[in-house]
Amino acid sequence: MNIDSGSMQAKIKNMIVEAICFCLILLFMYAATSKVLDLERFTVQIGQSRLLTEYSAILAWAVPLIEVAVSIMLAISRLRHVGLYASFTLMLLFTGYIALVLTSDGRIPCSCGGVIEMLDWKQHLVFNASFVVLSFVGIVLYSSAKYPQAIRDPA
Amino acid sequence: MKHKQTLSSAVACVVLSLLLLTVLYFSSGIHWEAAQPFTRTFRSIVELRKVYDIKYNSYYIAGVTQDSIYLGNLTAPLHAIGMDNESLDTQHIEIKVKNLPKLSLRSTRLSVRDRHFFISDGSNRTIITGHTGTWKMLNTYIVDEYFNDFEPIDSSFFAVRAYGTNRENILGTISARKDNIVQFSDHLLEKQIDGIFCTDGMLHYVPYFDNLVYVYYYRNEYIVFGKALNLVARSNTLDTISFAQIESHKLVSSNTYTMTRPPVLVNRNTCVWDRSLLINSPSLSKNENREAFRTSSVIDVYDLQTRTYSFSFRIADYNGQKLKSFTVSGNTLIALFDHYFIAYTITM
Repeated sequence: MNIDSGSMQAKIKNMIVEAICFCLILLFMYAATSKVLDLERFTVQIGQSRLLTEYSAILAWAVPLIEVAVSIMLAISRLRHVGLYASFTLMLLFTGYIALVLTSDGRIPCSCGGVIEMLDWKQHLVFNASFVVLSFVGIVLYSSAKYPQAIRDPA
Repeated sequence: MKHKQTLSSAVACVVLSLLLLTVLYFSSGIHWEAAQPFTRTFRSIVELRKVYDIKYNSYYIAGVTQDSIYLGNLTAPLHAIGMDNESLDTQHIEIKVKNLPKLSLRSTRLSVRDRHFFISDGSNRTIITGHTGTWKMLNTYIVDEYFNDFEPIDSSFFAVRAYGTNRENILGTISARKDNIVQFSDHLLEKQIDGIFCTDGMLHYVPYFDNLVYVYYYRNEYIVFGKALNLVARSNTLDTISFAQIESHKLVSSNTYTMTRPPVLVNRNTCVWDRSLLINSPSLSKNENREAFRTSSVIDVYDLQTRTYSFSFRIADYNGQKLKSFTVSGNTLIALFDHYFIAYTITM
């Protein structure tokens, strides 16, 4: 393996990472916007969840704010690394929450915002899980593209 | 070395989210149902007889007669299923109508009383009646008031619930005999919080006593009243929640009222059986087996003559689903579970 093909690989990896970041930014900004546009409804919806009702007033602001913050981190190359970890954690939390709802009380309305609400719970779980995988792939590729020597075959 | 670090950071993210979710789960208290300070006496009186797969979960109980039980369908208002309570034979019914008046699917319901069927739509003030022998539309009434719940008393006299002044729930009757006379009483339902959700409940006609009963969803109370809207009694159920534990809020964007936190449901489902009121309660009593409670629905039986608690029985979950609604005709109890309905024989 020579240096040229190594940097070529890193370039492709970088492009994939950027595509993944773009998808994540699109998702988070879309979700945050549809929540903020009808913040009152979002507050009520999370209040109806037995898991979230105690924190609905804080979460109604915190969730879209975090989504925007993570999007900004993903957009700035210096913060991209942290942003990918944050997306991974955020998507894990959303997915875990859906799994909890499915096992405990299936009748809570989804409050993710916009067209995402049209998914049923099972579809939603798959949708979220695929973004968990996507952000994980992003983390792995980002690390290997940035530190190509680490993954290069020592022989 | 670097991808080892990447991996451990990713694992740290997983651990962090699991930790947060665990805290959320245990702080919400949904893992542990608190026992209420009352006791139940259990008897086993139902025996499963037959399970039907009705394919759709849009069926609801439309009514019972001496010998039959009828199911209506939310998405097909002119379709019904009838079942003989002895042979358990079922038949699909198409209701024949001519010049169907305007109906809204959301608020249209089928009801059955004795030999009559009723298609009511309170949002269009429309009541269609006919005989269950032919299932042909006979009369159409456009009444003077909108209503949001409908319970037939006989072929031309109906109990209703409507929004009164201030858009609060009130109970009333409509007589189709003489120019659709509508009567309301604003002292039967007692407002505690908003007059809408706090007074929400289930309305039943009791043929045995020829009177009516209204069971609140969110408090331990039911009201027995006469056809002239005269109060007979306010009685309490076993539960200890006498004040509705709900919070509601008016949404400015859609101009509707909505609950802002999960309500504490006291009476989930009810039906009338001869002189008894049957209530499916979601509350755990202090002398109850937790495992049995988790995998079945509890029905408390109250005597409407003495207005006292008689006993309780259980209906086991089916395919992991709790019963959605139930009713009794003769000695057959039927319960709806998602897209199944199950017939039980009552032995006592």
